[in-house]
Amino acid sequence: MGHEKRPTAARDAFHLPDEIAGFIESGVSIILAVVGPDGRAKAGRALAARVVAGGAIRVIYPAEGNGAITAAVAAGGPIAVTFSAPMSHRTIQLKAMSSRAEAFEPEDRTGLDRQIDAFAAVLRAIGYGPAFVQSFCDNRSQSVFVLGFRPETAFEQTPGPGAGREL
Amino acid sequence: MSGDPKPPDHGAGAVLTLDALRDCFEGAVPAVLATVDPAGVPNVSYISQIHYVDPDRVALSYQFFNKTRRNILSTRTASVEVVDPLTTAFYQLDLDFETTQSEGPLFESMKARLAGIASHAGMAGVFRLMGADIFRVRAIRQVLPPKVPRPVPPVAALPALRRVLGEMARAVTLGDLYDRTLDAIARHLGITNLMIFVPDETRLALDAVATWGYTASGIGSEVRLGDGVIGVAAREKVAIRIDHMSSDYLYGTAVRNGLLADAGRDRADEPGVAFPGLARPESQIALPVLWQNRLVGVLFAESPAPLRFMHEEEDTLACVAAALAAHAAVLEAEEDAEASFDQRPATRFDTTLTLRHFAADDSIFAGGDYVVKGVAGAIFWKLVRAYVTAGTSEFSNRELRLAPELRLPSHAENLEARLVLLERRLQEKALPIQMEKIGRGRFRLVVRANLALQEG
Repeated sequence: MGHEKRPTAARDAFHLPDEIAGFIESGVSIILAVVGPDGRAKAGRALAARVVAGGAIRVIYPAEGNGAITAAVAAGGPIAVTFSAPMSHRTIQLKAMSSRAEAFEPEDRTGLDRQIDAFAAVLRAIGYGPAFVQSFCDNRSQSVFVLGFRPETAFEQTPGPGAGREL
Repeated sequence: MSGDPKPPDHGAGAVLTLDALRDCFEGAVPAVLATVDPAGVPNVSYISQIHYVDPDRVALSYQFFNKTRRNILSTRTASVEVVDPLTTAFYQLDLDFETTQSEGPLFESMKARLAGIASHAGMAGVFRLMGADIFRVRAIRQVLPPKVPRPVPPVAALPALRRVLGEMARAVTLGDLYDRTLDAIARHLGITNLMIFVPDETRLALDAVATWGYTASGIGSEVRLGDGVIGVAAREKVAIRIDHMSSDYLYGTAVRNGLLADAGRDRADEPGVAFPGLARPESQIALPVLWQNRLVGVLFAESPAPLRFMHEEEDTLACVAAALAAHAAVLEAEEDAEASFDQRPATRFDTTLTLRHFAADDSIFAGGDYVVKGVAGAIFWKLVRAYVTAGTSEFSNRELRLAPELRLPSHAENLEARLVLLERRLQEKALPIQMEKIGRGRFRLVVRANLALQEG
């Protein structure tokens, strides 16, 4: 999603602070929901995310097992993506009223490898077994898809009564 | 899912059932929960706990009134993605919201599990169960196949259960049944810290009547109704388990002192036997022993290892608890019809044992040492008074059952359990007064000292 292709949105894009951009690219857990044509939200997990020029987000996710997400994105469904650091429990959720499929770019590969390594180290540190961590790292060789969206709202979601505060 | 006009969509060819997915609900890998609001905006979050309710339904923990909660109440749908921690297979479930329970057996069962999850996640005090949101499972899809072979379990549950039940069937007395049950669980299921409790309705408490695997036997130690996994399992008549220990459910001096302080009592006021449990348990499970829907006991197991008791262990121990209830009912019912009582003047001995009875809680002290209390204490007091005043040394369960001063609840069928408790306490204290079974439903007091009885 290049800057020059930025669509005119009814609500202008939310400006993502650099600190939050850094957080979501640091190798955190990424989960997402995209609303399908049937009106139900589909749950999925992603592997990496990139914040690109103009504040758009690219989310890189495994093709296998995410058929429902891929179909919902193809239909341009509304999206929510939650980024969470397991050690600190810090959690941020970004939302947009539309999503779209994107072509894989060379920079996506760099981001994917770096974020998988960083998150695998976190999984090891919090006690997941070698088989589980290896299974996660195997995603590196998986076929992946990329989706893009321009965040319209961002929420603090760190567990606790303060969760849900709009940033 | 009977009664549905459309069968649930289980995916291409595979028949997936919730029963087959229960390892996904042990909380080892957080699940992803997706919801949507009435305007079509999605929300995605981790969910601490998905609880298996029955083959058609799951419950999600409701902890905060947040966006997820508002979405569930307004659009009444959700989808979750769960991971089998043993095989790393991924599944997605489409859910339709039915109702919320904020008390009762399911709620308490989830509350205990959540306390363990919170403790493990460093979230004690943050995670608090407000309600159990119950959902019907509309569809189950396997989205990623297993990548790791399922480990072979150290114990094959079904044949081991069969051996346990076989050994229980050999018991000839209730005390024998208790001991055989715990011994068989330890040998065949490999669970080595075990207790059986029996309820005393008159004081809203349970007493340990058999234990296995502890330094001190702890027979006669007391757990109050509603206290820890044992007390909650008894109060709610539901299996309670915890996979990572939480201070909310720990039995210990601090908890006990706190409870006594709440009641305005000093610890010194409360005579009793110390709870023999592990100092640092990580896993605990308590199963109600039910007969005709009445609580007749609690089977309890614990381990220093986390995640020791999962769904399969819970199922297995629930079968043992059911068999325990049935065997105990039969052994309790077997009584001799004949009742000829030996009455003779008490023999004189060189030593005298002073027994003191406190009517407030029917506690009995022998030479200053606590022996027993509650219904078992009342029974003991009746026996020794009959012995001292009339020289009676042989008794029948039937006679005790009809004695108004024992305050046995009218439906109480677990008199035999209280006699087992009393017999074991007398043995543990090595008192010169012991009980000896002389037939079905009959026993004799064997006294080897002069008895001096004091009230209060």
